[in-house]
Amino acid sequence: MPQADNIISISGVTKRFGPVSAVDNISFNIHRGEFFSLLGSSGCGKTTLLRMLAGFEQPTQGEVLIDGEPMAGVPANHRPTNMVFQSYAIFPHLNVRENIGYGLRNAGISKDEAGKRVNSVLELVKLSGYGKRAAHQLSGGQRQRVALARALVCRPKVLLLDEPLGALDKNLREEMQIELRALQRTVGITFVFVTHDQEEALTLSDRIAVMSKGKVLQIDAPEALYENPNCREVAEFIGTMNVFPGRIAGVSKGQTILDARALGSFQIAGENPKGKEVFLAVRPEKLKLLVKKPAASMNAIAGVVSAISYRGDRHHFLVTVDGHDRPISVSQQNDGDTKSTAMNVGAKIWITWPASTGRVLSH
Amino acid sequence: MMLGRPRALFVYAAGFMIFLYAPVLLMPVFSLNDSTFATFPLKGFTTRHYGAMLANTSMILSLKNSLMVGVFVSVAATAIGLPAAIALTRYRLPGGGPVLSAMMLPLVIPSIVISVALLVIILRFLHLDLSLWTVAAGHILLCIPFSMTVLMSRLEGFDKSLEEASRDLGENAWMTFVRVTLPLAMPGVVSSLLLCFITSFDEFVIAFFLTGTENTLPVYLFSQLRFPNKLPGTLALGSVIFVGSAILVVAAELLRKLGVQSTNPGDL
Repeated sequence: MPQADNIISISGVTKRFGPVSAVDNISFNIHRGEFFSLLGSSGCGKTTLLRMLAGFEQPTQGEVLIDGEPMAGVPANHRPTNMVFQSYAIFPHLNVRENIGYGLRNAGISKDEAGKRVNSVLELVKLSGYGKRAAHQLSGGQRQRVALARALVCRPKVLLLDEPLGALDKNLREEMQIELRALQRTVGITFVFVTHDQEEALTLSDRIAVMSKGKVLQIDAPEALYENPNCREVAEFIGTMNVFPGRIAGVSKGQTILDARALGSFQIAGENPKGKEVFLAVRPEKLKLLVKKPAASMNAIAGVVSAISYRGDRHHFLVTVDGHDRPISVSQQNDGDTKSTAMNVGAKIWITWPASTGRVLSH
Repeated sequence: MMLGRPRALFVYAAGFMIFLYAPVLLMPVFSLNDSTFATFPLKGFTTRHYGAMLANTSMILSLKNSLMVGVFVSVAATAIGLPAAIALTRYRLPGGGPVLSAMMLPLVIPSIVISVALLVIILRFLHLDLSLWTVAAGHILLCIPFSMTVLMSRLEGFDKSLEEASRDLGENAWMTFVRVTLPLAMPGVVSSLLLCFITSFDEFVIAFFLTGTENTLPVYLFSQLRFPNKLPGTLALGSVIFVGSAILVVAAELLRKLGVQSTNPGDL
């Protein structure tokens, strides 16, 4: 792979705090110009990794290259990165313009030039006319924009964002997601975005690294991550996943037959080595509910509806099945006729799905 | 019944205020009384004690000494306390806890003990002459814990990512201190200066032990208590200081409120 494609290269990076490994031997590359997300629950090491990119933490082991330059021993103020903090860290003693211009003092440009840059970035984040406002006169969304502008005005090679939308309410957050994505395309700077919100990561990112316990589980584009997770942990972190343990009983005509013991046997597209203990994973929205037993060519399980929750655009069913410890999640589009009166709590129904929507997970 | 409790509380609060301030407020009253003795009934109005105060050059000199020592001590103790407070609030220092305890120790050691210890060190080990400098040194020791307490609570009160943001935006450690930490710590610095000044200005024991030929005001006043005819002059001086410090405290409080408005918005 040509070096020039990677703006950030992380190799064998470990960060220990005392006996705890916050980041455990991670290696991957981030491409120039992409919107890259670090996704994981709290304590997974995503923020520590981001802070090592920013220069606030030094790796215990391993190396970070930014644009080909080794970053070992380079302090935050000499790195070609800028950060948007979770708390925004707007300087309370400075107004909006002074906040945004803060990093330009050392940029080696004239006052006029700095003023022009501040104006153009104020326009970029739609805060023209707010320059003289004091920090405490800004709303949450405006503070977020100031933090973005303050980092972008320095024209970093990489913009680091530490859960910048976490403090905003839901509607504003969705609005800012769209703006953030558009902004990234406009400026063309590489964004490294830390979040615990999987929906946010799916919406925004070109690629996502899913992290857990200091390790990277999978790095992929949002669609690939959702459709083809490489393990149960990723599958269950990104959305909901129904998982059935079983053994590969055989392969025929490009289809794998899974022996799921008490649940029966299922067909899965693709070939897998016979005899292996695996998991079959199917997303709730790929399952269909039927009142009558479906044709034999479809996978099917009989069960009893144990709960229904109404989500507006869809119904969410929990179906209890004999021989399976967890109820199966089924999501049905609210198209006006799917949920017939026969599908109330306590109703006996069939869950069915085609071979093509199941996935085999080895662990 | 609804009003019963607030009224009782009001009476209690009023009584408390009288107990606290009546003795202090009697001072200006007697300083304007036309008598040598501070007793009732009042004899008549006069400002001659204020004239006597101004004519008493040794008292004015000791006041000047106290002001000089106070200003020097407040600046020095705050200058020493600020880096220490930053180090203790910003970094995980090895042995930070014991260091902090050691710096706070002068708060709980009786000042007579400190005075004697300092006297021995200054005379026996350092072989220095006693002067206002030695008084100032003792006062700095006494003031550092006050300065540290005020500054640390201020430094802990603001988001540490503000300093990280400054580093991230290209400033080194020193310029981050100048452009972010110091402006945000300013209300604490002002409080520290005031508190240290008052502590030094008011201090008697250390000054009594460590001063040479020059007196600070408390030491001078103590020496004058034996002469009843000097009392009205000291009452006049006391009144002037009282009014002066009241103005200072009100001004500081107003400044602090302004500071709170401009530097402490509804931080997220």
